[in-house]
Amino acid sequence: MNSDQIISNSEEADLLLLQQLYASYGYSKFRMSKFEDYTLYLQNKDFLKDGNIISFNAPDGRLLALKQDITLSIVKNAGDADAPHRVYYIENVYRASDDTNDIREIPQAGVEYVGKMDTYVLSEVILLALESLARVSDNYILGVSHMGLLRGLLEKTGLDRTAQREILNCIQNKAAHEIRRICEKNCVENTLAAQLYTLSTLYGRPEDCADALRSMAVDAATRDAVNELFAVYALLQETGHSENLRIDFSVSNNMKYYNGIAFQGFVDGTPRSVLSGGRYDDLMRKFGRKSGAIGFAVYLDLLGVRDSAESADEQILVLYDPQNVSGLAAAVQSLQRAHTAVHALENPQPDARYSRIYRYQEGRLILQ
Amino acid sequence: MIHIALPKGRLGEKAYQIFKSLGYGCPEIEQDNRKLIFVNRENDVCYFWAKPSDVSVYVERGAADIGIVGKDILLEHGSDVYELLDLGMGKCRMAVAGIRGKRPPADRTLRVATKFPNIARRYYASQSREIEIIKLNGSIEIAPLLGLSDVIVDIVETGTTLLENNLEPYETILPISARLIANKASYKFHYDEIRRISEKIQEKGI
Repeated sequence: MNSDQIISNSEEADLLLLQQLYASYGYSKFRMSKFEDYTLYLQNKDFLKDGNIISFNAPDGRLLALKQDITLSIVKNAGDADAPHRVYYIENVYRASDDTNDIREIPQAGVEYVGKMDTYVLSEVILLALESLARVSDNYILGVSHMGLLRGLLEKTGLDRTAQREILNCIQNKAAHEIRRICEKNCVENTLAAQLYTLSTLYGRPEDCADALRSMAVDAATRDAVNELFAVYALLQETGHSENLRIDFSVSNNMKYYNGIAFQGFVDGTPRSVLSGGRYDDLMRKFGRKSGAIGFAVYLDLLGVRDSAESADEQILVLYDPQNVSGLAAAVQSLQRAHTAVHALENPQPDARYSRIYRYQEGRLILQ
Repeated sequence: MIHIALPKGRLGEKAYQIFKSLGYGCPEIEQDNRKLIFVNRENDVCYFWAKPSDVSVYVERGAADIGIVGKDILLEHGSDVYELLDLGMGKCRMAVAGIRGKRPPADRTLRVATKFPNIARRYYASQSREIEIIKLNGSIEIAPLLGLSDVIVDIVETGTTLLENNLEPYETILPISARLIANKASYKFHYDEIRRISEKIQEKGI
């Protein structure tokens, strides 16, 4: 088995589980073209995670781009109908790496809800995020924050957008010492500076962070944000899926487009977030839509990296004589553990590497 | 087990002494041997030395849970890691320097030799100044002396090297010091341990 096979097989298994999950909550599959008008990305360049757009000319002269982001395409096509729009997608996006100029095809699954917002809808999407992570790993964490509280505190500083973004970056990187420096330099009032400092270091179960967050919510906007966060958490607790949820304000999105709950998912063994999402009513407004919207994407390529690394940990070879296979199946089974692959072969494959090699002889496994 | 990436050189050795004083010692690393990775199962810790500019790559990609790195490297590479503490060690500054007594030309594109093209580009963009970056990998100070560039953007510690080569710092871009960084996923799955290390360092007042 080569590593490509491992990745694609595991991605397919993850995909199937996720499709079943999203369909079971009444989300319908949304299929998109691989191409998008270049102008869509050009006009919303600061929304994109990666600024490099891969463009080309269509036969009729129009400038097109390989699809780089799914949310933008869904928002562009979403109407303002009364009925909510629940969709999921499984698509590839295409991005160019800054460092190497490589073009990468990145498989993504995701969920988008467009329509009237309420606490149930918010908790449903976050529950789907939690369940998505649970489908692909036993050990996962969903970090959750609220852009309403972040924005509220940053606006209270009275600093310009550039300085606010600088503080937001520090919160995203948990660089509390830098927040102190920026606040001192810009004469931000002490209580507010201390709140921003606390927000950057805050991490834990929602009940453990409740007092700190409520003490920061001193006006209508920030109070609404904190109340919404805990109302959603209360609903999630009823489902029994809230154990792996953590308050973490390093999880935040672009302030220009995201306005509500923001979240990122991590699974043990993968160095980056494998899921990212949030509420983006302000992006909808930019497209002239009145509805609210919330969604997330799961980065399937990162899950593939995790699985291939784990599978590569233990590749065990069992050499056997086809004339003498009595008891072999049970012997192979006895070697199988989590993250191991046992290859029973008559002869070793020339290019393959194994962490251990056994020979099955006279009903016994003999380590070579 | 916590995996720690240390930068080769004086800063890394000093950083290891801090970890050791906090109870994360690893006798193997103190021995004269050719090993690359050092494990102490008793303290549940694993160290390895890396080129200073690579430490943030190891941490960002999860090969190390935490690491010690200069702020210059973080700013240059824009690494997606948590920057938990300013260790206050390895203090220096990122500065623009050039030939002593000579001012950089204001009437044409400024030629800037540097190991830090991103920092230089951002600094001059903030001043709306048009520049040409000349990316070098070492001995930056020679560039203005040989007419390769008008100025250099580089780390200045004491300024002695500049002085000895008839150069002087013109402007300070920003102060630099060593930072404790953590991988964003590791921070969550090893929260108690990483938090404990970070708090112990803070308590020690380092």
